[in-house]
Formats: sequence, structure tokens, C-alpha cells
Amino acid sequence: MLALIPSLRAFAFSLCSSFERADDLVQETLLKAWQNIEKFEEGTNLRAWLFTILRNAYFSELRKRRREVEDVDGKKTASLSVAPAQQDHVDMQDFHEALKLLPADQREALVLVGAAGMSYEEAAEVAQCAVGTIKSRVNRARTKLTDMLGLAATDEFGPDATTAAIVAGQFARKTNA
Amino acid sequence: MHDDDELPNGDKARKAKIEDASALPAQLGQKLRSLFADVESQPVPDRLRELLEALAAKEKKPD
Repeated sequence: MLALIPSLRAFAFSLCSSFERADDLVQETLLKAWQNIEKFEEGTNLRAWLFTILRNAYFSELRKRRREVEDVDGKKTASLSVAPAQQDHVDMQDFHEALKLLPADQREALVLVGAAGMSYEEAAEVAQCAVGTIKSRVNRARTKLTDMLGLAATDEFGPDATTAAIVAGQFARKTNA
Repeated sequence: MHDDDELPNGDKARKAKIEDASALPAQLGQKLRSLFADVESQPVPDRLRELLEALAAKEKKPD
């Protein structure tokens, strides 16, 4: 378990953005894991099991405290120092601020898949949801992050929004035909 | 449901591009991994190490 503490801390910090709270979450996770160790099936994924305990503790705390800052009116996004244009370089601080503004479930999915190196299936196990839900959350998180940081690089990543909408409409018509 | 194989080649290419559009730009992926790795590389705080040691000791101790 000791070997897994660094990645548990990194996951907790990605969720709550505070080292103190992250360490509290890891502490709670270790205590709960120890108390329920008989529920862990030998030979299964200990890392995923611990991540699940940690995320449940986090979301439980979140529901109680209602501290999560979600950028419903876009004010925080507007305060990001990155200009809403394509940037060659994204400051780490701005990136972290943008990450914090993602809805918690999307941030969790993005971190599990994009940073912790989990497969969609493993991330779905941790988040206790369907694989499709994880994929959708990751995609929404990616889109929001790129939007917030002004990185909607249409030349590099695909057609502009109008073209995409037209093509998407064509596919929808084909699907419905 | 449509089958991608039935789409004209041009549409397939456009669809692939749209799917690419949902990919995280490389520098953001790098930032995300870097943020995670930075925390991961930190030493385990004493209070967590001590907690594990205390739990292990408690388990070894006969009731």
C-alpha cells in the first residue's frame, strides 16, 4: 500500500487542488481500506480499489461541503490569463486553474485516463459508471479545457465549428435514412 | 445505425477529422501528466507513512 501512496496523493490533488485536503483524503482512504481489507479480493486491482475508495470519500465530502466551484457563469474562465486565441505555450498555472474549473466528474475521468494511465474500463471501474460515460466525460473535459485555454486549433485538430456541424448533420441524415 | 464502410471516402476522412478534434492537444496532455507526475514524485508525507506503520503494528499486535 505504501508504494501506491504517491499515485493516490496525485489523484487526490488532481481532484481537490490542495495538498492538505489531498493528504486528508489519502489518510481517510488508507483507514477505510485497512478497515475493509477483507472485502478486497486478492489478485484483483489494488490500485483501482484504493482509487475508488478515495474518489468516494472525495465526492462524499464534496456533497457535504458544496465547496466545488463550477464555472457556471464563465466568470472564472474569463479571468484566466491566457488570451482566447491560439497559444503556443500554456502556462502550468493557467492549465491548473482551468483543470480546477472542470466539473468534478469530468476532471476525475480526464485525470484517470490522461494522467494516471488507466484504460477506459479501469477508469469506469474506479468511477463506478459505464465505460461510455467515462469516454463521454473525457471528451467533454477535453473540449472544455481546449476552449478555456483558447486552444481550439482548428487547423491542427479538425474542421472549424461550422464545417463540423455541417458534416455532423450529414452523418445524422445518413444515420436516420 | 450506419456502417462507416458505407460512407464515401471523403466523408470518412471528414469524420476522422472530427473525431481527431476531440483529442486533447499534445501540450495539454503533457501538462496533465506533468502535474500528476510532479505530485507522484514527492516523498510520502510522514503522517501517512506513520499511519501505515501504526496500522501494520496494530494488526501484528495480538488482541
